[in-house]
Amino acid sequence: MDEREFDDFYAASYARLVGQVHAMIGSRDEAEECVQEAFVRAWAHRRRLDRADHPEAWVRTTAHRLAVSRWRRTVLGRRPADRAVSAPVAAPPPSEAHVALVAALGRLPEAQRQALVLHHIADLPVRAVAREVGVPEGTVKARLSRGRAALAALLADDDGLQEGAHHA
Amino acid sequence: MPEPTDPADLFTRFLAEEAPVHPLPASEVRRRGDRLRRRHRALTAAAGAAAALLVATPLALATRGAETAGLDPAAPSPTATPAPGDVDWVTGVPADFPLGAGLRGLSEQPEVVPGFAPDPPVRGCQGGAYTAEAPVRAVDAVQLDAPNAPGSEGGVQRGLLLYADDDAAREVLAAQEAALADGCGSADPLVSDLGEGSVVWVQRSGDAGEGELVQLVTVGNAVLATSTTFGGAGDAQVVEQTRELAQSTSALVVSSLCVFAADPCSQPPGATDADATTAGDRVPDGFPLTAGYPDDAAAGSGQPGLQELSRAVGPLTLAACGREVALPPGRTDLVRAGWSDRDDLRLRNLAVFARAEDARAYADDVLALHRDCPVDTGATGTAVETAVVASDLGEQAGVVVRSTTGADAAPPQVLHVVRVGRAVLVSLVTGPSVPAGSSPAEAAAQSDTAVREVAAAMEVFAS
Repeated sequence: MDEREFDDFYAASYARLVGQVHAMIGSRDEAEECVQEAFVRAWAHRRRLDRADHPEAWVRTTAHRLAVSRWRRTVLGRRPADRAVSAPVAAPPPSEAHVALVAALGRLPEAQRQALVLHHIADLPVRAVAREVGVPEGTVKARLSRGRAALAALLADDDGLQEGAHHA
Repeated sequence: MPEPTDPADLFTRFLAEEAPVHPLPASEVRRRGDRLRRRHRALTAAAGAAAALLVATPLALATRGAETAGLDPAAPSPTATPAPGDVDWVTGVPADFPLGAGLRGLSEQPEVVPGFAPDPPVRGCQGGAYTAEAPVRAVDAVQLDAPNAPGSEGGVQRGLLLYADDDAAREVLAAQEAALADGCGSADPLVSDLGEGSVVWVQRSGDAGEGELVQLVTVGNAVLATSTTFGGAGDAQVVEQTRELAQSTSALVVSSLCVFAADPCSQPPGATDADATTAGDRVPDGFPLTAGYPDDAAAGSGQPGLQELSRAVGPLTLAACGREVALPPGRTDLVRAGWSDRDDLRLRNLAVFARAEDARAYADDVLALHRDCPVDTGATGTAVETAVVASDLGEQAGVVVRSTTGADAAPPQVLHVVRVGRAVLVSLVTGPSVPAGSSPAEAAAQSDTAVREVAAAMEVFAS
């Protein structure tokens, strides 16, 4: 991948990946930072990226792993000056429905959330989701089915969400 | 009663309703990527240089198996990757592959034994499923066991597995990544960027804080598995330090994996970085960054103990009141040393910048971060009071003391920030060496003597 190809890839997929990772981890700022860092690593390891069948999936997986690791580090940190997530970046407030969906996704098991996001937001077919998360297609279908049911219940439940899920 | 919301509809609108993004310019992303790549090269070179000291005999990579292509002692091969069908993968682990390199404090080098089962170094999720047969059949395997003490269950275990090709090796990592994504018992994945691919996680056991840090690294058709047992696994900083220790002690072994790459090297890289800097840009050999630290033997069994000066680490990022100060670009060198026991953590980062003004700005940022945060409730919900005490060390310095109050107050954290010319030292001490209840001035003074010695040695970077 040469400079121009990388720049085109970056411009075309950055916003999409931030949205997808946001839906996976629940934090918009974290998502943008992790996607940014994943692209830095993508350029640093572009030979590896060249060999990847799906460069966008490589960046998404890297960003997700970075986010999960940062989250665990923050949550598990007991000492105050531990490494932490960076300061939030100011952004316009999202719609209530948008917030509600992110909050509901955040209450699902990680595997179901990842499957839903990859299938419904990243628009990947089940086969591609299975390849990306490394499980059989049947497992992905089961996760999607359970995840959709749980999500619908959460979105319909007035008390199910702590923030912003009110649709009069 | 709210109206039911259709998730499919929300999904459809999700990306369209996302707030605008603010990406860095692509050229800046590439610049950072190039810098990351150079840093990795430098770390590999440092590991190779360390090998010259650690390994008494030169690495003459004879082979135990039939395939020995590419192992002649010549310069590293060109970087072009052969097409998959052209690769003659090494199918036998070379007899003197340095699997035991970097293990310190051992009376004798652990024996490398063939095979991986029945006692594999890596137990996968919830035990047992990861062997030379699963998830992919290996074509050769060796392992070693380096206990902390004879008969001890704690210590380091390493296994090296060779597979039919690089796809098979990658499948091993992918299987582990999938297992971690599914929860993997009490395992927590950590960030790792070693070799051509890597997975690192911590498996905790029981309430005693015992943990096992496992590192899988693949290069070509090889997977190196390293398991390190340690105490204090409930503490994120101990976990992070153990990860760094495992990474630095295995650096030579990881760099030696290049003999299994599709475009193999002939020997571990030992040359200096192509971007080598001039004297004064780098921390000189023998720099006393560990001055004042206890001896390695003072650490308890299974504890990291003394970590000598190393470049195989990432930068220390500091945070307070939701703000973070990371090391800025423009550095010409970065080293770290540390000492830790179960309840005692000491870390020192020494960064050298190309320009004194960059060093000054970084030191100012670190001190301002804490001056602007007199009380930090942070993620833990515990109020931490912060004071910045003046210091006469170096050309510019301050001592940050962060303490909690109350009957169960932890010992204060003491952070010395010292700049001399183009170098900035950040020295962190937390643990019983600074008694709980100490005033900021008392806490600062507790570790001042040891830091003073390091600051004096920093005169080599004076403006």
